[in-house]
Amino acid sequence: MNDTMIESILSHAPSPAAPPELLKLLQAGIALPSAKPATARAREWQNPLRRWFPALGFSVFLLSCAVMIAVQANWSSNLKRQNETLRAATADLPQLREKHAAFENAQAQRDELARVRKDNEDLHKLQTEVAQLRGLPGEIQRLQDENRRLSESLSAKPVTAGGASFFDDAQAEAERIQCVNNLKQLGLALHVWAGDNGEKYSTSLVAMSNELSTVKILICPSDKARQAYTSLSFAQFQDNMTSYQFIAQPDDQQFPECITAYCPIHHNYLMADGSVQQFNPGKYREVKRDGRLYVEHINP
Amino acid sequence: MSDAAEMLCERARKGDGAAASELVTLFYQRIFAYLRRLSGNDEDAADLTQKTFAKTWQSLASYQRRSSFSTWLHGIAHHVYLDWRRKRSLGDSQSDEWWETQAADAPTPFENAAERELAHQLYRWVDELDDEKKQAVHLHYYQSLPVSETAEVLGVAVSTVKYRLREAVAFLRARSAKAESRIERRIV
Repeated sequence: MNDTMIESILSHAPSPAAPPELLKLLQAGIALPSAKPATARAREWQNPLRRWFPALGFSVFLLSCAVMIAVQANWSSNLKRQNETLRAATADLPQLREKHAAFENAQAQRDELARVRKDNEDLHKLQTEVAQLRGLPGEIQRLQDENRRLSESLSAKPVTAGGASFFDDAQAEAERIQCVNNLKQLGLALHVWAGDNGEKYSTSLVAMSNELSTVKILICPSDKARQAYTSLSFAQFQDNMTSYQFIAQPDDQQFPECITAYCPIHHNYLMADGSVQQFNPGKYREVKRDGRLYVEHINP
Repeated sequence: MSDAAEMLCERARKGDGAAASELVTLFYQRIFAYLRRLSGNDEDAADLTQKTFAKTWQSLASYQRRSSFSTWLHGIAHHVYLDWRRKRSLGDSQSDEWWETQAADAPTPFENAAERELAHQLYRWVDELDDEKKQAVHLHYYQSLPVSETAEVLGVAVSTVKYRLREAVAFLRARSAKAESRIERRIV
């Protein structure tokens, strides 16, 4: 099959027939754009603004351009005038520069003068101070002599016995108070121990070591012979190492006025009720009743 | 017809409904046939024809007479078909049976059944062409538009249309040669 034949066949291709109702549908669907009446068109052109709008717009544009050019020209001429004024004002600039340099030089000289004056004043002040200080060595010598004299007079005077006694008394009082404190802590430990052991007091200090904070409270501070024990631990400590006479019995809690421990140095007594009292040995005496120790007034 | 169509178009632009009706009568068969061959069924072709004319009336005021009314109308139909096809995402929708039916009903210059069979075969091969070549064949051969008007409808250069037509014919020739050799081998 050659090209001519192919083209002939294609040119005679069947043409499908449209449905019969399509023509009516198409004709019914004709919706032409409504043509404007000539009168209306004429009326539109009667509006002068609409008709002349392009020309007016261009004119306004040109006018605005002209106004802008005029404003800029005015501005430019003003600037030129200002420039000329400034040029005229700066014509004598070299002369002004020279004056300015001379003025700056004069100002620097004035500052230098003020500085020199101030230095001079400081020098005068220093001279006055030097004159005052020249008299000081004599004063120092005099004070040293007086000091020496007073020291000599002080070393020649003996220390009075009253002064030493005062410090000794204070030391003794402090030790007594410390002893009372020790016994109070011991009494508290006895009560705590009894609370854990059927309300019975311990008869051994080492046995209730858990209730005692330190070995130091078992040594009276005035008992100089036993001070070495204060460094021991409870594992090394023994009941006979204490300064206090510990005579507590298990049932002492029922006899609150009986003595459970006492200090033979200060005569501080720890009662079974936990209180600590100091008795004057000249007015009180120790008595034993039913195997327990009490303290009573010599002359009731 | 062209001058008559132009005159009718001018009248229709001025709002003459009778002229528009005459334009429809003049062109609806051709437009329907064009869209029917492309779309593949009567219903879609009728819808597309109605859309084509509706757009024609809408755009009538913008018709500049740079081409003939027929070309302009075919251009609208072409774009309506492309829109429809893009929305439906269709491939080739033509069926062999349709061509056979159409060929049997329509008067043809072919003398014998063998030639008719060959023509049917040729039309089917046209549907196998790619879209650009197929459009060129439809407009130029089926719709009998000159090459220049075909180029205008498709929005391409005349040389491009010529090239596409040449390629399409070459393709059809190659297919027919292959088919003939197959028949000869069968006879031998």
